[in-house]
Amino acid sequence: MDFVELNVKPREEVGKEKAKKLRGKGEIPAVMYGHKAKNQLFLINEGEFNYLGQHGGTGGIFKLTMEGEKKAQNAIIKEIQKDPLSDRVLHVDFMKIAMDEAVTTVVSVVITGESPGVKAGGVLQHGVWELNVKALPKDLPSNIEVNVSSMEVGDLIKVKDLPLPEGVEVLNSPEELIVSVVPPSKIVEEKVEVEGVEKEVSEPEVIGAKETEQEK
Amino acid sequence: MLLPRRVKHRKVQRGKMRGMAKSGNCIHFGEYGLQALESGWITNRQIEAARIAITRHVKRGGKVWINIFPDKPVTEKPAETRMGSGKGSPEYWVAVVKRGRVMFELAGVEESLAREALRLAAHKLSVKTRILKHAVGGEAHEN
Repeated sequence: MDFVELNVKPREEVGKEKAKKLRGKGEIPAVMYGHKAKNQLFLINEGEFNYLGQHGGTGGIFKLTMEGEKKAQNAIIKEIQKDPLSDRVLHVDFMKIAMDEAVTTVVSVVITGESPGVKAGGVLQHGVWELNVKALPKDLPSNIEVNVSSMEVGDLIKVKDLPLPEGVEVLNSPEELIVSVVPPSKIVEEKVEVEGVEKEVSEPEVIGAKETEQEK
Repeated sequence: MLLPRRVKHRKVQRGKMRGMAKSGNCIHFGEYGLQALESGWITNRQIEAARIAITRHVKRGGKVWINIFPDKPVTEKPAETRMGSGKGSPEYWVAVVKRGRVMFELAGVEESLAREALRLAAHKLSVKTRILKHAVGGEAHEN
């Protein structure tokens, strides 16, 4: 896993109103916790963090340097809160880590190669997009690659079939599906409805209506 | 067309559509999604029209998920009727969609085909939408 250096500013302001004002100034509120340490609140520069996000840098180990401090602290991202409409980053959770202790985190699954089954008309279907893994920080992969170049129609790859890097343990069920190539779905001929002539749609049954009628 | 099999009440009040979709606001199943940018009622006819638009354009292969269900009855009074004399009769069914909701998801097709299919589907709906793509790392964003 790559190391990413990030300079952060400590913050004291808490609460949504203050966080809103900080976001207006181009800062992202963030928190770091874990490893028997007290929670630390700080701010990240929004432009810098977005640049890292666009260049795939948010999956690595962060070396966070507080303003006014010389020593960097190692952390990984636990959660990124985003606005669902604007995709703007609202808050970031970091988890402090020790380099000699195993951590549990989420790693993305990346599909590589072209499947002959897909070329023959099959459809590549994803099961899980992310895997829960446990490993020492130095062994953590930035993603787990799944090669589909030998997959024919009907083939599937499960968690137990994955070639894992050394020292990495997957916590998902071994039977969980990663990717499969399924035959293409058949086209179902749709009935052509004549305009103006509508099928009578029966009304749904009302729960409890029959009982009340019988009582009467 | 989609409609409930059993309901608790034949007629319901209109309700409010405050705020954003709390759940179902990101892609969960497919690779591409159609997200509502404003809140509104989507009728079962619109859902069906959008589904047909997607499946007809994709032709073969691919898989479509519909993440909304029209479970709210809408009543109407007959034309030229005087006001009063009770609530009208149920006419159609709607799904209450809040902004941010991912209504349709699509997988197993090329990006250009998926975008065109979702664009055609968006024209059948009465809310503004945008197309999302499932990115590596589980985050959905607009491209």
